[in-house]
Amino acid sequence: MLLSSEQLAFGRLVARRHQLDNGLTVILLRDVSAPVIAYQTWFRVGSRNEVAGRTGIAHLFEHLMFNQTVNLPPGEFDRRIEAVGGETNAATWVDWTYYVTDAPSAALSALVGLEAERMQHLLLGDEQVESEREVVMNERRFRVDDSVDGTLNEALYRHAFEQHPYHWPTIGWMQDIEAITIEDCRAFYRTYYAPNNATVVIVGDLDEEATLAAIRGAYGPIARQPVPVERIPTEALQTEPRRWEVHKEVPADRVHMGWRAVGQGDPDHATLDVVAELMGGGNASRLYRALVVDRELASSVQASVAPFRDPGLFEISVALTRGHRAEEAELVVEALLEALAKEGPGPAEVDGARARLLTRFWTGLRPQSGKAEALGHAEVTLGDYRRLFEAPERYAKVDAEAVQRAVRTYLGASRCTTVVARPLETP
Amino acid sequence: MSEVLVEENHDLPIVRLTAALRTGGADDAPELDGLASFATELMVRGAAGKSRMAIDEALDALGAQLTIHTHHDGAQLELTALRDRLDESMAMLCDLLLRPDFSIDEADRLRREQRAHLDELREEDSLLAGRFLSTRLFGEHPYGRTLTGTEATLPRLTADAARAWHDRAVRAPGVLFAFAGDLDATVARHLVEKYAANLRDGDDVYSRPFAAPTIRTGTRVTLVDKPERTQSQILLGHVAPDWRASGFDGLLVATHALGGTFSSRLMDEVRAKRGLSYGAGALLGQGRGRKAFVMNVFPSLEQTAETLALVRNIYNDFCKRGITEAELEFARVNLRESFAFNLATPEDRLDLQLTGELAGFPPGHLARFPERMAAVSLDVANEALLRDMRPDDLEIVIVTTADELRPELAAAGLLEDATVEVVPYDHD
Repeated sequence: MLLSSEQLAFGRLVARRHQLDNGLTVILLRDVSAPVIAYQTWFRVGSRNEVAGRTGIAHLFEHLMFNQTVNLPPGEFDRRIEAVGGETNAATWVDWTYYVTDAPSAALSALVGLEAERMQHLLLGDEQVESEREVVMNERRFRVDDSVDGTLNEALYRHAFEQHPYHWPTIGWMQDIEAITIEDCRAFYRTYYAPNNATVVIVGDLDEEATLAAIRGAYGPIARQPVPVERIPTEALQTEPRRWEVHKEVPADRVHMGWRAVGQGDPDHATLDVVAELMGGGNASRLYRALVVDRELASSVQASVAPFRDPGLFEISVALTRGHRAEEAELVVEALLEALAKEGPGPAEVDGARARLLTRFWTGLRPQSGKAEALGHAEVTLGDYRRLFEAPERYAKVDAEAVQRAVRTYLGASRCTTVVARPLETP
Repeated sequence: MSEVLVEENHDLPIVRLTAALRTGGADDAPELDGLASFATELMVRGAAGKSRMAIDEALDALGAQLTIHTHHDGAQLELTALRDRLDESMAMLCDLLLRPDFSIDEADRLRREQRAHLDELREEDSLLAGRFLSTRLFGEHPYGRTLTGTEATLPRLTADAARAWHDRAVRAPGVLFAFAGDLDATVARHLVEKYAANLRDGDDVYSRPFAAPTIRTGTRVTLVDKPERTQSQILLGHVAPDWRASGFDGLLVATHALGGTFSSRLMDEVRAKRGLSYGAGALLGQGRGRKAFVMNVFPSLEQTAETLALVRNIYNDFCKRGITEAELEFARVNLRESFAFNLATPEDRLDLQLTGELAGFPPGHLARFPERMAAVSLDVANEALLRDMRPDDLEIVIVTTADELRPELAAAGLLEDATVEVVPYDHD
């Protein structure tokens, strides 16, 4: 039985949200521009829900979801999807875990059955856990231990957050990945992989009524489960700058800087998006021009604000060129932020940043999978899929004054955490 | 007028405009390796009397995203913009394409940037492995060019060299305009007539296939030595047959069965059963000339010897015994059905056409892909494997900490009958 139905105009298309009796949220968007579908299942669980000593379990568990179920032998989930031309994947981050299948639209009813099967009948044995543990340890070596940016990104959050779970990396500390037990995994599955903790998003060439009927039939019998109320510690305001350095196999310094910002649902998030564009969003951005073009201190710069439920970081990263030290780039960043706070950006500069953000926003929504991802992310991170289009509306309201206020409020030197990788030769 | 490709779609208010060149990094002379990439980048750093700063600011004001892709078989300038900035965006794209200034100052600056980018590239072990494999496999052949240039060729990449390249490359038969999104063919043609009317004519010199590369025999192991690695990036490959060769479609299907999906033989044996590597795959290249067949895995340093031995065994078995009927059927259906993703968005459909154009595929070759895959039989696939694949002539590139790994490889017998070379990771 469906409890409710709401809708969102999506350009010339319409997205509708429904909810089953067991709490499963379903968002459907019919888009017949191509004979394919994007089928995504978003769970409201990520590394924020982990505890110290068991970090990485949300991500390890994501791997285990592709293994064996009561009715599917090991590897059969992937095989059945690939046998119809589909491809499947998943991702875990701080606030969510989501499972993605893109497939020809004729495969839709089969996908409904497969996804409902693993939501309720996953089998967890020692062999599967051990094999996936090895895979995840290799993934960590690839993404973090042998990657300069991976190492720095992990260090930035480790030092910027002391109480909040954003302190630890989603992939987990290596010793924690090694320590996770099969009982931990079973408890995690029982606790978080409940229909009332999930949103299914399907976008593509589908019949809405028939799809809903199939979902009702496959997911309807899955029992609702009590999902624990989150007790996330509040992170104290950072009042002193923090710094960490490491020596790595790099030809020149690499620096990542982070300032505690706001959650994605906060109106200031859009303003900080604009600030990131002004600072490092294009070849005319202030940082690119100062560091790469004018002074040739750096080969690349990036700026962004984390799209997290709770306040994440406003981040700036700089790859220095040989012979230059991180401190030179840090001084430039500080000076540019001060100038932005004091004088503000020009109207044309703000217009350009807003237009670039809009272009990127619409480009991301082009493929079915992009639409599904945007809807799922808004539903899980912002609490309501209808908030998806808040971002362009908020960009339109950002002006020079808002930029100045945001820089003054969030990007002061005392709130900054800096992590640096230096070449091995440097004493 | 140049060829104009259009994929119309009015769902979202955006348009992608592409100017594609039929020449890429493979056409660079060996002593000017990196020139195509250098020249296309320089084109957007001063054009029609506008400075780099003025261009960047104009793009900003348009809210447009400019991307430049230079690959071996071609180069593309792409602008993505909001529909209501279409006309100004096309004007800008054509200024960059047709009227670059090639200033000496900007060329000097770009050379310094390219040198810094070489440093950044060396930090990414997977990119580093790919760069070494290409040069090892193809040597002086056009597909041995690095695209980015080397420490030796960078000083030769000058404004004059870029101007000469532009004079050859940007001529009517070698330029394609492609549009995807919120416009129609009439508007697209009008824009090309309005802004690219003075595109010079010339000979079509870039559609010819490349000569066949020299194939070396025997297995060579290159240890790209980098300190403090916790894992090894391993690529194994050899030169592949030409896509025009009989049985090539059979090899495509067989390679897909070997390493094209999560359910493939490599993923199953390396990752699912043993957890040795996060990823394991195989790819068969195709383009204007003969490209490469490549397998990849990245195990921990401790498990490198075990993984390499396993992959070599799998590949030997694959080449000599072929694939099974079940593997053939699975790969055939997956390739045929997943082709729909190449048609999912207007940009995807356009990219498919551009790929075919730049690789020199005959009309309809890619559009017939599902039917071609369905027509592959087990005999065709396995005969092609036996005939064309070269398990005893592998180039193996491993980015690793050589001092630690080499004894392990030797102890496992993996260096017997192989040429072994150790090269520093920052060596070109």
